[in-house]
Amino acid sequence: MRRSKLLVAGALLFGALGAWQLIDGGWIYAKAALAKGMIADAWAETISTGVKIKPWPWADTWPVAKLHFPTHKRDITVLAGAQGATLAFGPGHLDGTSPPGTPGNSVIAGHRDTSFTLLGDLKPGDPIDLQNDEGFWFSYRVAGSTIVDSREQWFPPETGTGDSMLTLVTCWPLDSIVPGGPMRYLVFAEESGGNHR
Amino acid sequence: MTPSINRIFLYATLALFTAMQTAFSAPQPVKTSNAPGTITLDNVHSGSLVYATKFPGQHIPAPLLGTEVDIRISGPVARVIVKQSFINPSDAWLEARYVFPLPENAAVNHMVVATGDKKIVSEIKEKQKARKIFSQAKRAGKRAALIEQHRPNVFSTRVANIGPKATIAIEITYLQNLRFDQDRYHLRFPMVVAPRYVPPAKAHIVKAPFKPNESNAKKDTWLNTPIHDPKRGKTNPVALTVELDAGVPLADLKSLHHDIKSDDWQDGKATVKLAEKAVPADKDFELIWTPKRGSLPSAALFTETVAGEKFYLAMVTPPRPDTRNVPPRDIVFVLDKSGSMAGKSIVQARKALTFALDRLRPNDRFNIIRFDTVAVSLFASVRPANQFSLAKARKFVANTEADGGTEIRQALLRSLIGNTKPDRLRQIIFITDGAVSNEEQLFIEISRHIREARLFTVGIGSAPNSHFMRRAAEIGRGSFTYIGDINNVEDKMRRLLLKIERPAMLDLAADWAGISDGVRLTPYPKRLPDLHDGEPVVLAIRATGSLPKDTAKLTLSGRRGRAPWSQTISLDQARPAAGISTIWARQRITALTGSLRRGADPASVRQAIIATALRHKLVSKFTSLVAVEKTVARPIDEPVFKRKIPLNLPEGWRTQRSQKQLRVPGPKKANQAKPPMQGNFASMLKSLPEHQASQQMSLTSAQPVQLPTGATSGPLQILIGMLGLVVASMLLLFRRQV
Repeated sequence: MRRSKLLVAGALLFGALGAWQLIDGGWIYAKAALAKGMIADAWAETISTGVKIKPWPWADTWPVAKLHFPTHKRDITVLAGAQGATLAFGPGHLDGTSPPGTPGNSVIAGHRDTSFTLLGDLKPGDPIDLQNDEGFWFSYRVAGSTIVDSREQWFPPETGTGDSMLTLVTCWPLDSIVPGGPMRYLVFAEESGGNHR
Repeated sequence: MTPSINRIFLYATLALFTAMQTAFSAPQPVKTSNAPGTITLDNVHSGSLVYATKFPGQHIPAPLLGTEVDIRISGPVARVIVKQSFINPSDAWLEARYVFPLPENAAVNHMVVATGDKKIVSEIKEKQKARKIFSQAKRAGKRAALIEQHRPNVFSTRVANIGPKATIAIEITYLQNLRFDQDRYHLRFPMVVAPRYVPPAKAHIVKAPFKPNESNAKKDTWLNTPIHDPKRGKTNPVALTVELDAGVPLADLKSLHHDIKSDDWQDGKATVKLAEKAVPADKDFELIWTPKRGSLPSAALFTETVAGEKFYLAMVTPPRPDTRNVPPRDIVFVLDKSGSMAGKSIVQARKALTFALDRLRPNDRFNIIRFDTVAVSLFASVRPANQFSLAKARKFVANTEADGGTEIRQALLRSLIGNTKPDRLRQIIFITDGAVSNEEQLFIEISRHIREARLFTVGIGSAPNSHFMRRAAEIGRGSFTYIGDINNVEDKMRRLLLKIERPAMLDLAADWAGISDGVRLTPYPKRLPDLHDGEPVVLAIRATGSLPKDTAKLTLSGRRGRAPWSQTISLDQARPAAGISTIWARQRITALTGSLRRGADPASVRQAIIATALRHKLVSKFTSLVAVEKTVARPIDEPVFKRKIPLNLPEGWRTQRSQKQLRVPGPKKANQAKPPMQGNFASMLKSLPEHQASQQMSLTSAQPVQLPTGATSGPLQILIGMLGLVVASMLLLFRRQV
């Protein structure tokens, strides 16, 4: 009898722990999914009005660009800033790097398990389109990738000619289950010119 | 569910999630890259500039570039010819590429490529098509050149098949209407990033993008091209001449940053040259000329007829407000100190306000209201700006810290309501990030109480509610100033304060009389902006259909305060001037681009821009100029090397990069997992000399970037959760069996 009670208690404990972790982990995805629609709405308003629009009133970020991956048929809206709170809702453009679509290197970071799942599928030569906040599209092609240690200083490379380029950043290894590792996977894309649209 | 309820529901859910997230997640220690014991710049690991390691010692020098600038000014229009000479110092065939700035309103409409005694004239094409033509010519071994626009003021030229030790010159022509302000014409030619050739010797070694084999290694004598003497870098290959025909006698002519030589300019005609043949290009060239008082008519009209269409450029300067008798002001500053302003925003706001206080004049009166959940004002009503009140105000501002809610209404009402004598200007300067929800109510309050006062909103911080502030300023008949960067506080505030010191010319409108039926007029800008002190109305007009008779009249009207103003010009006054049509087209493209902001359809805007640009041969976002030589210059079996012309940092900019830092760190030994791809870095990294940065590129600082965490704990948590549930159910099962 006593053993049975112990088992129930154990079951409750593990059940509660399991439920808590499931819900907590689920939130991360739910939040990203919920926010996506509102961010997309805010983006549509931004490009039509030319005004920065917060996706929800207390947000401390706003959409700054949209990425389109033609080979993967994915659209991803990029937010301003790459603080943890921002990245929970979508990829963020690192402050201090070139604004998206302007000459220089624009660095955009996203979570490998939510917004930037497709980073590992990109291959050299893959097209990436970027829409800036004026609604204009810019075309890029993936040039290469590398892995860096985020504990070391990293200087965004530049094409050196005033051309625009993108650096997409996510955590490395791409399929690790434990978050917070020091390595980062970087995909570089150079402006290829032309307007697909 | 209605959309709004839907939205509220979403907000609520999201709020819950964010709150829970904050509550449950333990604070993470922030790792900084500069912590003691971490790696410094000198031991960045396993850097790999691919060609630096694999093929040591292989380099070819970048092409040299010389620039000659020839500016012809006729009245309000400047026609500028920029001649770029690309010199190939090597024994190989080269392609050169060069990115350069031009004035923001430059209308680039012509290019000529000169090789030896031959000249090739450019054609305007859609951007993609132009690129195709260019690369076909390049592959075929023909000399070719291409001009593209990247931003309204950033252009690039590419020149293909520059022979060994040969020179190709390209002449770019652009038109520009000159700025007229405070009785003076201004001409600016951006030279900051004009090439000061020869950077530090090491930097202009460019790695060869291929692995040479035996046969071409012999041919490639360029491998041994000597490095240029760095001392040559200190001289500047830019030469500049201005042919001035102001059309009116002048009272003054001066260059702001350079010594100039000029013949007699009093009659308005002069040839201006730089005092030295070549000057250091570390600052823009700026020329300013002042027409003799009274010689410049208050209205000037220029015309050009192109292909049955008439184009006009009208410049009308309203009489200036009496400067000796500027009305004293009552200024109320309203400062948002709510919690959303915490951090950088409040620092910026304090700085902006302190700066504004410094600019008050003794006969001005002022007050400061700061608010969060409640509004607190410094004085009961406006006080004269004297030593004592200002000292008190500065202290008040310095002691302002951000916290609390945002209750704008009370503060706004307090600033709006108040008595001001009719001889004083009443101005409200509202500094906030505009994080409000009751916008509509506030708009109503503003329109109800604004009367003769003017509301100027100043947006602060990273994400101000610009919609609210723009609209509030519109209703309050003031303007909206956005300060995004703390370094811009002083400049932006100075501009705002100067602008509002004197009453502006408002409600400007253009009317036509005596126009026959069938004439269609297309003026730009569509809506005339308010005019501040000393600014003229500038209107570019196209007339199609049966041309307007010379009896037609243009009337411009507006008001300054309560005093109405109007002026009529008849079209027979118009003086012919070349380039007016180009300027009209450039204005139209600007207007079309601006219409995107107001919700125009991007596809149709693009079509309209392309149509206008092709017709007027303008380089635009979607069109480029391309020129191709008919004959083949390069033997097909000779390789071509693509070289980008290094740009220089503008004066005052410093780059901290060393060759080492420029390397892209590769994977560490400890982590040898192969990334999904390791593509061709060459295309990206082949030219990274350390001095390469232009004014535009300085948006990117040469600073290290802290890469954020790119993963969530989601998968781990879900795994733990599942395991927990599995263990729980196993325990339950086990119990049943027992």
